[in-house]
This record gives sequence, C-alpha cells and structure tokens, in this order.
Amino acid sequence: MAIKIIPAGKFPALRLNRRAASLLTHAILIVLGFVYTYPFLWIFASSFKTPGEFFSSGLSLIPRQLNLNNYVYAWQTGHFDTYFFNTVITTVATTLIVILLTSMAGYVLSKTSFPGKKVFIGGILVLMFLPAGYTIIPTFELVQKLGLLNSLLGIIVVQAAGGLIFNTLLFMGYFATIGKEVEEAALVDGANLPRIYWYVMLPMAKPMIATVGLFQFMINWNSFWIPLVFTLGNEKLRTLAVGLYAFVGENSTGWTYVSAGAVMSVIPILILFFFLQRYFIEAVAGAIKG
Amino acid sequence: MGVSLLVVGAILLSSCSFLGVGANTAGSNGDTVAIEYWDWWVTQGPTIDKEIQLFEQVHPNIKIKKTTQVVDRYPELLQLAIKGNTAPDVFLVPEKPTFIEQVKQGWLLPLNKWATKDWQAQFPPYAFAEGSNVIDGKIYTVPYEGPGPWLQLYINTKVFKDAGLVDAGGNALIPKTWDDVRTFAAKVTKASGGKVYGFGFGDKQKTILPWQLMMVQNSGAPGGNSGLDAREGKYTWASNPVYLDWIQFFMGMKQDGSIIPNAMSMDDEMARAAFADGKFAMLIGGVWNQTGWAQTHPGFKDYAVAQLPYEGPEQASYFYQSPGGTGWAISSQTKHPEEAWLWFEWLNSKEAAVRWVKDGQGLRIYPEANKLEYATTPQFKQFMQIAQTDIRLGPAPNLEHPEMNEVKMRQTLPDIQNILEGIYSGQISDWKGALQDLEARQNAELQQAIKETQARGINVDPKWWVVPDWDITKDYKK
Amino acid sequence: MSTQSVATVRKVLGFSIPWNPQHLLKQIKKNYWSYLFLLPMAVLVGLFVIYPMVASVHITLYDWNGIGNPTRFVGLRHFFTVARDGLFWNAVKHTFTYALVLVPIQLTLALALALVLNNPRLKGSTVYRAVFFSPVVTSAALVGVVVSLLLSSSGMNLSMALVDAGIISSPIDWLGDPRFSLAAVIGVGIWHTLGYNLVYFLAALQSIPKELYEAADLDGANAWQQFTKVTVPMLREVGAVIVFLAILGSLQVFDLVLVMTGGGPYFSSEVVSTYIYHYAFTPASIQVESNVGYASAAALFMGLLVMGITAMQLVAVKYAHERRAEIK
Repeated sequence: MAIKIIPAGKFPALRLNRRAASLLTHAILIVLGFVYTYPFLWIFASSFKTPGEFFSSGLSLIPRQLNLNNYVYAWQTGHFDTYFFNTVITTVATTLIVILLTSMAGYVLSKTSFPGKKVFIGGILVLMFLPAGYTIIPTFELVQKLGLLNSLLGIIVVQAAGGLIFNTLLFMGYFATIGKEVEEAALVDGANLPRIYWYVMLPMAKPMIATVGLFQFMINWNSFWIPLVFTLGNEKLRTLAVGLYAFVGENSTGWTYVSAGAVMSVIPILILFFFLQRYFIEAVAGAIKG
Repeated sequence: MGVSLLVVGAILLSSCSFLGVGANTAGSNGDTVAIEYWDWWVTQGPTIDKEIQLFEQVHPNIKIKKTTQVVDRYPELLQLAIKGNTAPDVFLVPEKPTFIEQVKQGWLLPLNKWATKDWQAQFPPYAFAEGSNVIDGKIYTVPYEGPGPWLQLYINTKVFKDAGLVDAGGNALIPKTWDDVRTFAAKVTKASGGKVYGFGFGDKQKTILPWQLMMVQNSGAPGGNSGLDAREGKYTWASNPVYLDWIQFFMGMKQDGSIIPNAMSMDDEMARAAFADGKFAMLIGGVWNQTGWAQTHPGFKDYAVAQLPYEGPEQASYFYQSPGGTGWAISSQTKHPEEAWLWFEWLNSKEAAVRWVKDGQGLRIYPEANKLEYATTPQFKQFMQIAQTDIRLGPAPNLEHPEMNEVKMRQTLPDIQNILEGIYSGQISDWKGALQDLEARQNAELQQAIKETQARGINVDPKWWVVPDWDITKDYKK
Repeated sequence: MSTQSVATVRKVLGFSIPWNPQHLLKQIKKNYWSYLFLLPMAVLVGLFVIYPMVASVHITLYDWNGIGNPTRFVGLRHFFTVARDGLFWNAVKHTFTYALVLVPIQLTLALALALVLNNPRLKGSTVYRAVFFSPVVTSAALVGVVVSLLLSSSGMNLSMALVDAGIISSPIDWLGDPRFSLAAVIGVGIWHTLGYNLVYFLAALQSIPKELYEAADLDGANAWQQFTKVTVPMLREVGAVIVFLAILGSLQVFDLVLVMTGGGPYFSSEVVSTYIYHYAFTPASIQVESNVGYASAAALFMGLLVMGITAMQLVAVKYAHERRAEIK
C-alpha cells in the first residue's frame, strides 16, 4: 500500500497529485530563496567588482570582470592567514565551553529540584533583561587583573561568558520537553546525575547542541569588539572580523575588499552548517530507531 | 570523551602559546627596535605606507608597525591600550577627549628634549601656541594640516557643459552666490529632462546636511555650522538672519526639484560615486573627495573645485584658522623615545610634507610645501588656490584663558543636524521657531555649564567668550 | 515576621520546602551534583557579566565622557532627565513597535518555513535550509550597508516609476522618508534574523516523536489537525522560550537601524539603543562631550522598564489563571 505523504503544514492536503504539489513547493522555495539571498549574492558579486562599480552598478549581480584582486588584497592587508588560525581557536573553544556549561546548567535547572533553584532561574531571567551598559572598562580591568590581557584565552573567556545566559534558557526549555521516563529508566539502572547527563541527556539533545553550537560559532566567528579590545597590545592575536575593519575609513571604505573579506570569512560557517545539517538528520534517524 | 579532550586541548593550546605575550619587543635580535604607530587613515594609508618604506631604508634598525583603527572607536581604543600598558609609541592625536585632558591624563610625552628652538623655527609662527599644543611650556604635538577651508564646492563640468552652463570660452561656469547655485541647479535639471539633477548630497549618517549649511560660512556667519558667534559669545541661530536665509534658499532648491530625490537615504560615499557617475552636478565635500575618486573612478577628471558660495552680493566672511593645532604625538609609556622621536620627526619633516601634497592628500603646515607647482592635478591646484584666499586668522580666547576648556556643555537634542533633517523631510514646518528654540537651549546650556564649572571652584568669566573687536573680514589681531 | 507572612513570601518566591535549617542543609548536600553542574556557568557569569554590570551601574550617577575616572557626581539626575525626555519615549515607542511587529510576523514565517523544510521527503531541503539561513551569517553592519544601498538606488528607480505611472505625485525616498523609515527597517529586520528562528523551530520540530504523527494519521487526522493537535502542543515549552528570546532580542536592535537610517530622519526611526549611542558617542562637536554616564542611565532605565512590563504581564497572566481556577 502506498504510504501517504504527510504534506507540509503550509498546505492543506491537496487533491492534486503529489507531483504538482511538490513542483509548486519547489518553485516557490526557489523564487523565495533567490529574493531572500539577494543581498548576500550581491555581496558575493561585489567581491569581484572594482571599487567604483560597488556604487555604480546598482542592482546588478554580474560583475564586469572576475577581479580577484580584492581577494588577494584583503588576504594580505587583512593578514588573513594568521587571523584565520586565531579565529578558529577562539571560536571553537568558546563554542565548546558554551555548549558544555549551558547544557549542564540547563539540564540541572529543568530536571532536578534543589534549594534555591527558583531563585537561580529568576536571577537568570533578570540578567537577560538588564542591559550590558558601558561594561568594557570594568571587564578590561578584570581581565587585566587576571593576567589574561592580550591573550587568546582572555578573548575566549569573555566571549563564552556572553553566551551563557541565553543558551542556558534554551537548553532548559529543550530538556523540559524530554519526558521523565527516560530519566527514570536510567535511575533504575543505578546511574547518578553526571552519568545521566553524559550518557542519556546529551545524546538526546543533539539537535539543540547543534543549534547552539552553530549560533555560538557564528556569533563568535564574526565577533569584532571583544577580540579587538583584548588584543590591542599584540596584533598577531587578532581575528578575522577585526582584520576586516582595516578597510573601514573615516570618509571612505574599501567596500569591495570588505566584501571579499566577508566572503572568505563566511565560507567556513557555511561549510559547518552543511556538516551539521547531516548531523541533524542522523540524529533524528537515530531517535526513530531507538 | 572526545569533546572534553578537545576543550582541554584548546584551552591549553591557547594559554601556552599566547598567555600574556607582550607587545613591544625591544629587539630579541638585539638591535631592531619596533615602533608601534596608530592612526585612523584609510585613504591616506598608501601615502603613510610609502613614508614607512622610505624611513626604514634610512633607519634599518627601526621597524614601524602601523595599525589603522576604526575612527569612531579610536579614542576608546587608545585609552584602553594606555590602560593596558600597551600604548602605541607614536599616534595620531584624537579630537576627543580634549587635548588638555589628554595631557592631564598623562597620555603624552613632552618633546622639548628634541624639539629645540632650531627644530621649531622651521615651522610657521602660528604652528605652536601655548594652551593649544604647548602646555606650560612643554611641547606635545604640532599640527600637520595647513590652513584652508575644509569644505569646497565640487562641480561636474561635463554636466554643466551639457546643460549649456558655459562661458564665452566654453568653460563651465562657476557659481559664486546662492542664487547662482539655485539657478544653475534648476537649469541642469530642466535641460536633462529630469534625468540629471542640479544638486546632491548623501545624509544617511546625518552629518552631511550640516556640511550644506556651511554655505553660511562665507556669508556673515563666522561660526559656520556651530552656530556660535564669537563676536557676541553666544549661539546665534535665530538672531543671525543668515541661517534662516540659507534654509529658505536650500528648501527652495528642493521645491524646484533640483536636488536628487534619494539624498536622505544615500550616504556621503554613495553620493560621491553618483556625482562621479554624472547623476547630479554640484556636491559639497572636502579634499578627500579627490583621492577617493582617483580610486573609485580613475578616469573621472571632468570636475572643478570652487569655494563655498556665499549669500551675496559680496563675500561677507571667511573660514578662520586659529594658532596651534594637533597632529601626531609620542606616548608617555613609550620604551623607545629616541626611535619614536625619529619617526615623529620624519612624519613632520618638510620632505614628507611635500610628498603628502604631491599625493593630493591635502595641505601641510609648511607654506613652502604648499607650492602650486606641487599639485599633480588641476583640481588639487584649484583647492590650493582657494586655500590661499578663503582663509583668515580668527580669535582663540581659549588659548588666553585655558580654564575655558573646563567648561563642558551637555548635549541638548534636537541639535542642528536633527533640525535640518526635520526641515528637509517636512517634519518641521516652523523653521524660525526651531532655530529660536535651538538658540535658546544652547545658550542656556552654555550658561549652565559655566555656572557648574564655577561651582567646581574653577574661575571662569562668561565675558571671555565675547570678542567684540573682531572684524570678520580681516585677520584677527589682538 | 508572623508565620503567615513568611509563608506568603515563600509562596511568592516559589519555595516549596518547609523552613527548617537542618532539612535545608540535608537537601543541599543531597543535591550536590546539581550545584556542581551550575558552578562553572555561575562563576563565569558572576565574573564577566554580573561584576561589570554592577560596576557600570555606578557610572549612571555621574557625568562622564568615558576617559579616565568619573568625577562629576550628579546622583539620580540622569534617571529623571531620561524619564522626562520626549525623545527617549519616542525611541521606546519605536523599539516596542519594532519588536511587536517583527516577532509575530517573523515567527509565523519561520514556523511555516520550518514545517515545509522539515519534511524528509522534500529533496534538497539541506540546500534550502542553508539558503534561508545565510543572511544571518553576515554581520548586521555589512548587511545593513548593502541593503540600504540597494534600497536607496533601486528605491529611487521604483518611486520614479510610480511617479511616471501616476500613482504618486513626487518621488519617495523610502529610507529617508519619515513615514516609511521604520517600516523599512522592520522589513529588513524580519528578513535578517529569520534564519535563527527557522533553525530553532527545526530543532524543536525534530524533537517531536514521529510516533505521535503516525498515531494521529491512523486516527484519520488531516495535516491541519495534526498541526494543531500534535505539533502546537508539543512546541509550547520551547516555543515560549523562542518567543521570549525573539522579543528580547528585537528590543535590542542596533546595528541595523544605525547603519540604515541613523535613527532618522529626525528621530522617525530612532530606537532606544541608537538613542543611547547618540549620547555615549556624540558626533565630533568640540564643545559638547559624550556622556557615557547618561547613556548608561538610559540603558538601565530601559532595562528596568522592560522588566517591569514583563513582570506585570506575568502577574496578570498568573492572576487570570488563578481566577479561572477559582471559577472552576
């Protein structure tokens, strides 16, 4: 017996045959997708344009020539090789720390009860509302006292702290959807909290880990101010986003170089996204089998 | 398992390799000294890079490491670097905080050891001024820029010629008064059938409409778009009729349809590109436009530079220059003062100044460097000629009374740039009322700031702001 | 304090344990793993979030230009000035408009898109997901510049075409027109961060067990019924968090507005974060100083305002629930 497709929630069950519905969906997605990524495509096209073309070519996506100079110039002036390495280290480390710490906290806050839990959650919520204010100077002084100024570790620690509150809430919400039975089964087997966390909860949280990981990676990959401030004394430690700003001037900006630099910065993220995509699907498939 | 190993590994790696590595190495190879240099110059960057190359050839044991920081955050970054004990050895002095404050905070190194009388003598007399760049006899910096109007009118001569705005010799006409501008602009728009406009600007970032307002500078408003008239020591937005006259002229041009419609959503860079693409005929900007077009529109040569038009019938005032000024300075934290001085001296040398002028970056403080024959383009020459005529010496009471620098006014919005926006977009209909309100608020704020400064125990006299004997058509002499 | 009032306070704070010190200690010891798991996060937050925040509260009491140390004490004056500043409330109005228009539209679109892209039968869903995610990947500043450039030039062409067609009488400069500037920014905002919520919804959808859909299918439910009876209830918890975070995030919009319109023209698209920026980093006007103290006070004021509004809403919701429970 033919298995009925569960149509996407966007369309009610159409009497039209499968083919037409599928084609229509694809058509709409393609058009929507094109309009949607237009500015992004435009930046990509601009990375090949000459400086004057950037302003004069209007909406055009086709550069007059495939000018690779922008890439060469951006790579050299922006010191992309060193900065790339630094960015990878800071971003990966920050992301891993955030995932670990927030999943731990999120799990404990959603699945266990202990004195002070409600106060802690309330505190997190309050912190979400309060604006950062002008905190760069106290943060700078603190990092200086800890001896972490002008080091990658300093950047990692400060950046990681910035992602802790938001993502703890996310994990908390996510773990709340996982039923008690799973935990109770593990408890029956005699597991203590860390074991449950590591062997049961984390594997179940793969989609959220992937999500948090992706976003933290992306935010920190593009992060500019913290890496700049905490490497003022040693330019060898700078990151890609900081390098891009070398082209932003007082009255003019080398926009074609910025575009080339942005494209070069973005490719690793897109690769990561593709990679995590497959992870999503595998995780779901694994869940079905289990 | 793998995850935790990765985390530990990443942290160890970064801390081992990079924990607290300092910046300035006094030559691990023994002799080479690295000098850290900061500025915010992107378009002038290539000229500075050339200077670095030339300097390193003459001084092989010194390496200059240039960092160009984003101009908006420059003061903050400089402060943080100083706090972290990694200040650059030589840097461009930022406009904020005030120079006096930078000296008070101990940021700058006094240069008297090397800035001997002979060295000072090569500069024109107005380069040094006690209270401006010399504090209590200690020299900290010297200006690099020479006197001249910082804004000019740019005319796309091809568009003018196409519209028939030419003189007997076939050269494009140069507008001298506001009426000229309005008439020419209307003619360009009409002649092109509405395809090309007479006038344009790009005010997306809100600072460019005040540049247009600077057309009052030559028209009897000596404070320009600051609104302050030193002859009265107060803000004169409404009491000086020139400001309202200008608004009526400019809005008249808008109603004529002569201004490009997307002026409020373009930024200045985009407007400059549109000008070079021939989309409109007249643009107000500074000398940096020229090096900008050299990069973005290398073939673009059909433009002329003129001084800002005045209300008429005669030019009633000028751009004014005060003595002193800032340029580069050496950090008080520098570990290599001798080498830092060598780089500082080089940057401020006459030879470097001539190269700067030849690159079309602007005027330098040495009159000898600003010779007309150094101009490499006819437009830069036009700019130099304007600089020779459209400038006078103005009064600088804060040099005589340094306590005036302690008076800190608070921002009161809407400011003139907001008001100009509101008028242009039609949100403000009572132009005179808005100007009166601004004048009242800013004068009140100034008096309030003076009172608060007096309350802090600093002796300031409101009369110091008033310079009644100033003839705005001549150089000011005390 | 009477036992009655202590009980009330504890109820409000949500304590469900009896007030018994020995019992309390036992509970703490029993749950030591929980505390250990919270510790690293709490330490980092305490050092790098709470401490700087507290330190920055102290500067709200000063006039300070950001250089050196604050010396000009003004007490609570800034808070009163902010409360009386019409431009501040104008910015608040725009900020809430931005958030309350953007979030429903964007989340609906994101959920719809997530439902479409979640279908394992859809070929190339991986590619589509990357496509709809990509705007998020570039920084708001660069995106803002490019989009405002495109809107400015093609917007002019569009409005000229409208003039030629006789629909409007004179050209409209979309981003530069006070009637449209905020709307344009909202539109771009919806587009820019939709990818985030798309991915969140995708993750949430994938946590819903397939068996539930299969069971509903066997019961003869159609797609819409499955959506309302299976998907929506299962999404509630995560969905609430997503909505909450989306609103909070939108209230903080900054780069996009600053780059596209600068808050103008004449404050018509000014939001709280740009208002603060204008006071903390005023344009170079030599007589006027930046006032980081005032800017921080405005930021704190806004934070407290938002907290207050949320708290009031939570109390109202709780009150409504309790009344309904009582009525039953």
